[in-house]
Amino acid sequence: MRPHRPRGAEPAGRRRLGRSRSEALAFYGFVSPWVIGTALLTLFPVGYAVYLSFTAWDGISPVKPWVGLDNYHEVLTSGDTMASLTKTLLLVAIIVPTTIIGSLLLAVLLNEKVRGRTVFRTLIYIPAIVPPVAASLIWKVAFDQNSGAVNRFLRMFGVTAVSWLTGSRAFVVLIVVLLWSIGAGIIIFLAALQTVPAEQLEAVKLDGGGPLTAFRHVTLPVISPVLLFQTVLVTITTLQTFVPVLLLSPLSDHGMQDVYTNIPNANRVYMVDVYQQFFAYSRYGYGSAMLTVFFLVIVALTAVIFKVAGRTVFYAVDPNAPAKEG
Amino acid sequence: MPHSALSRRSVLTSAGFIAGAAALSACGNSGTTASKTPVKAKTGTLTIMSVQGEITPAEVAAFEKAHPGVKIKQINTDPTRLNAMLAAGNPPDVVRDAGTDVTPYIASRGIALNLDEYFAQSTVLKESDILPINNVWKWNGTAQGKGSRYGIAKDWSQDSMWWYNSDMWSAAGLKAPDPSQPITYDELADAAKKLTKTSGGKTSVYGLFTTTASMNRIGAMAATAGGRILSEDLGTADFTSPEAIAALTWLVDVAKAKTGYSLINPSPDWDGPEYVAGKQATSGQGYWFGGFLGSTAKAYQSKTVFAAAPMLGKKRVSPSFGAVGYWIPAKASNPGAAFQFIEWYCGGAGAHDRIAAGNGLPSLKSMLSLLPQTTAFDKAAFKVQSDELAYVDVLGNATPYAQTTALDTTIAKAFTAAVGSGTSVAKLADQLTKDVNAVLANGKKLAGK
Repeated sequence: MRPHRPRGAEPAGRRRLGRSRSEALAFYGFVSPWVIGTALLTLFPVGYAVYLSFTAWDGISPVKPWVGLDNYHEVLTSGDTMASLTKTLLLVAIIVPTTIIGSLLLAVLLNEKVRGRTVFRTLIYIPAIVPPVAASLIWKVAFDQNSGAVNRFLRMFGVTAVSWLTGSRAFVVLIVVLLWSIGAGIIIFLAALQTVPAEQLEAVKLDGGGPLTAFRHVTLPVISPVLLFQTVLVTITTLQTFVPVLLLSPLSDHGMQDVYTNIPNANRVYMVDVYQQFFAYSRYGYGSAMLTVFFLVIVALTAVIFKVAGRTVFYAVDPNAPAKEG
Repeated sequence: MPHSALSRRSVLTSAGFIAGAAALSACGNSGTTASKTPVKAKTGTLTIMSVQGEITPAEVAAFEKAHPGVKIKQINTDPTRLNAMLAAGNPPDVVRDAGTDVTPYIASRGIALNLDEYFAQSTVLKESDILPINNVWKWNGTAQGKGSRYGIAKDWSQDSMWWYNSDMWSAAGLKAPDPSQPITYDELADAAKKLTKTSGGKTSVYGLFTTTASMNRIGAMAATAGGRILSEDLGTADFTSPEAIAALTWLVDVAKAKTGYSLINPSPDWDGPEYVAGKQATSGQGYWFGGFLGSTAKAYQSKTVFAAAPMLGKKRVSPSFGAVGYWIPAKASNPGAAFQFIEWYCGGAGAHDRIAAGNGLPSLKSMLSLLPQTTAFDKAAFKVQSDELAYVDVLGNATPYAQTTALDTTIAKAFTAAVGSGTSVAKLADQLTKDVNAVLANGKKLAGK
């Protein structure tokens, strides 16, 4: 007969086992919504898209003709697709350094103890909280050839009204719109700047170093992980630019047709091309191949950034060190 | 008595209108198959994919009252969603679309239901009463305009026709053209230059309506010179014919002149709001635009004149760029009730008010007499429209191998690039022929041809 054991009097080993099991159950319970969500809403769609990329599906027909690597061959050899990819990479080459350097410099300025600092911070951050749709539409109105504020301003200097939203100038407007939300980066850099140890800055000063020396040898290393994070984030979001292009284009209530025909060639970036392949040309297979290639481009670019940054990023805590037991 | 005299004129005009329509109808008869299975409508939900707000709550209520047990559920027009629903085998019961653009594509792929039996049994949409414009909804396996019916227009217009502001016209020192007689595209372009008001690079008034280089526009222009873009088998395109070159030359010239909105200077809106805001002296819309003015800017009617479609050559052709109406997907769950809705909205009580307000021409000859003929504006527009009706035609600008959107997107890319870089029209025509044929070739390959 097993002896009666009062509640809470289990042997220590079994108690530990029970606790670790319940902890494990709690862990899986908490993460399962995300695991299931990721599996259903990310892994399955991505897998399905990869499958479609080997077909010539038109989006409607019940059959999905298998074409092997034909779509990939076309993606890599199509002049139109390569042109849109080049345009997108050009956009990244302009937006990423401008955003990172610009927001970092402004953050450093706003970190100085100057009068009205809070007001400046607020003013610079406001554009970041304006929804992208509203921001794009504001710029679209401002750059309108016949009634926009930009041309009205230029006219004061005798400049003839410019058609900003068409032709190659549309690319300039797109860059302005993308740079408009630089405030979000400033806030992140401002937060990072607060972590720079004052005593280290003081030490540089005592050693006779100037502000530039302090920035280069203390501030930059301390905020370098944030710099890396921002670079990766801005690169990925710029590569995926789509909505601002759509919103800057003249779209009437003629319906979706305008989305395909009224986007200036200058702004036909990669995601616009993908969208048109799917929905104007009904080339779901080719569009999926474009997305798969694009995914690989993003992964490669991110890997390059990490590789380059790996030599320069300074971690106060070793990111590879094992977590401490609580 | 003046009143009776006017009425007599109206009646006579209507009679001429109907006689012309009847003659054309006889020419375009397709010989649909005889009815075999009685068409039955189920009760329950009827899902309609249409433009938000077009079918009003009052119309929904009236239909549901007339068809007890059927409840309408509207979903907004969304090609992506439609594709997904079709692919999943769970399509809407009714889909709104442009018959001129979609018929070969949806019929040849078996996506749309062949409605011959439905029309054969219909007491509302009788074959003898259907206007020939609805031939754009026909497909016989090789040609649009012949064969089985796959849909019908809810209302329609001849979209190469145009309207002009007579005050602006006379203020520019232009002689008012006879609205029933077509002017040439060159005359129109010259007038547009005089009507356009530009200062410091800003344009306050555009003389010309929006001219988008598209399959419909280029095809319609070329047709007036006796040409066509697509081959007879709809498998290839040729933009290098003299007729197509003439159309492209005109479109490039007006785009460069910036006397109107175009692909290189896209309109912030469609013609209507720009016209009633006094920013455009002309509007490139069909008959339905009169109804639009009646409901949104009635004061404009007194200074607005409806005119015949311009011509590039000697052949008078005045097509529709849409004949927008409805089709029923082959896998619709309630095709019987779907057809009941189409009958009601396109030829029954649901069409009555829309046609009487002048918001487009009816699909049935018997409804032509409903068109507004009360005011001087109504009568003038009706007269011009009556004369124009004889020149409606199915142009064959759509193909089973690609959606019109794909062809128009291809045209837009090449057109804007060419105008922007100053490429010659001949080179643009070569480029368009090459690019559009590449799209068609891809479609043919998928179709196994």
